[in-house]
Amino acid sequence: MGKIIGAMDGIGLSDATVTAGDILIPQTAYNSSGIKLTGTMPNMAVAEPVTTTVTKSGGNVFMQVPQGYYSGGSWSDVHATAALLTSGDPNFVASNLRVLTSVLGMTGTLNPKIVASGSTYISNYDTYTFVLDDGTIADGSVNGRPYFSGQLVITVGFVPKFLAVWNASVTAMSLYSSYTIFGSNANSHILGNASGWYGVRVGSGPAVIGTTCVLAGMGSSTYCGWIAFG
Amino acid sequence: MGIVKGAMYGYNTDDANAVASGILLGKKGYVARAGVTGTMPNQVGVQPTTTLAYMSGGNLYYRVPLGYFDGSVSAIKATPALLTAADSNFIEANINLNVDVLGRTGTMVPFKVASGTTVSNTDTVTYRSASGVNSAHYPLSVTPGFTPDALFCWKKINSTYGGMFAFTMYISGAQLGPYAGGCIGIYSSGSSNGVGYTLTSVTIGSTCSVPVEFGSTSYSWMAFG
Repeated sequence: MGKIIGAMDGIGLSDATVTAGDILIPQTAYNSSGIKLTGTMPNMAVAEPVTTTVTKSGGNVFMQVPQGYYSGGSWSDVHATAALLTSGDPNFVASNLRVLTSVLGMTGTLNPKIVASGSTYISNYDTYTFVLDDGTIADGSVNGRPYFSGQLVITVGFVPKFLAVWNASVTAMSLYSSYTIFGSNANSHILGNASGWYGVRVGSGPAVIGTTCVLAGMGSSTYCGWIAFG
Repeated sequence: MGIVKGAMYGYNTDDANAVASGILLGKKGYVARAGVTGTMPNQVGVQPTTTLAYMSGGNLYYRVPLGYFDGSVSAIKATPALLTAADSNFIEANINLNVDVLGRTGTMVPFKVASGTTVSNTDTVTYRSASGVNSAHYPLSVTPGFTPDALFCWKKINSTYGGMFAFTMYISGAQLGPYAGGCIGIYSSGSSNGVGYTLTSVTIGSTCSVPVEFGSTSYSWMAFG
């Protein structure tokens, strides 16, 4: 309590309304009872405040600000972790964000749908040395052994996860999938032909999977349609 | 009014040091023989909009306006535009299609993949080929959960040459380019090799039904969309 002194020196405090919580730490002032108050209001300008809760409403994000005084300058900027943003919006998860892209502190895992299609012409009648999955060279040199006429060169523009090629009458097709649906070889693909073997797996050889792909062909001097998914 | 003239007593407040900006707006205390009325803005319940946001160390930082926040009803509003200003990757094109993420609705069409195994029907159904020829095959019902652009069903027949397969493929008509028209190709032994079927008796949707060669047989399948 402030010392009671002679009337000529002292002051009355009856109109004071302040409480300790109204005063910034560590400043002091007297209240109406003559009690010296030391401020208890935290000074967030000297802290590293973190948002306590995040909510989403009306298309905006609302971030709770921890209790205290803020200077309005960079020293009292508040931050929110990615996990906290997710707590305020369950849709803010990696599976809703573009793969390998960092968005507000969260790296996405969602693959975009990329589709390309077109046609390609097999003009090359040469037999290429594709190798079947058991190591058999598919050159047709042995009667009854599969062989492939020409090779399909397809400029996809991206590395496909799935590539299908078929001739105009849909009597032959060549298929590739990165999901190794027919086996574990990275560049393995399937070739089917109405006049030959059903689906025979091409294990290796000149097959290439990239922005430009090379698959075993199913004929020559013919147009083929193709579609690729990335 | 602090000075009391003629009173019998008063208080000495000389040892206090608060300044107006250190006291909440409208609150009054006494410091050094004078009343001091606070000027610190009270942001409780105001819900101000932050004017600056940025990324640092993987966290979102935002500027808090000058004043006092009580920690319970003192939230800062950040608009989607401000979040994008903080991180230019926060745009619709990086967000899943039709999903609202922190105030932005995504436009990115995702690549969907589904796979599984299922057993084909016991009885055959008549399918009509693109050339008008009818033939009987066993329906295989699969449930990708979305309408696929491509559907692939296969069964390993033997290990000749490391593996030979019977398979059925569907490619959506919209994607066939110069060879448009939904088609099903069946690769197996017999006369049905490589036939382009019309969509007669074929269903393509979140659940699909396509023809396969063998009945009552487990097929693997994979769908892309």
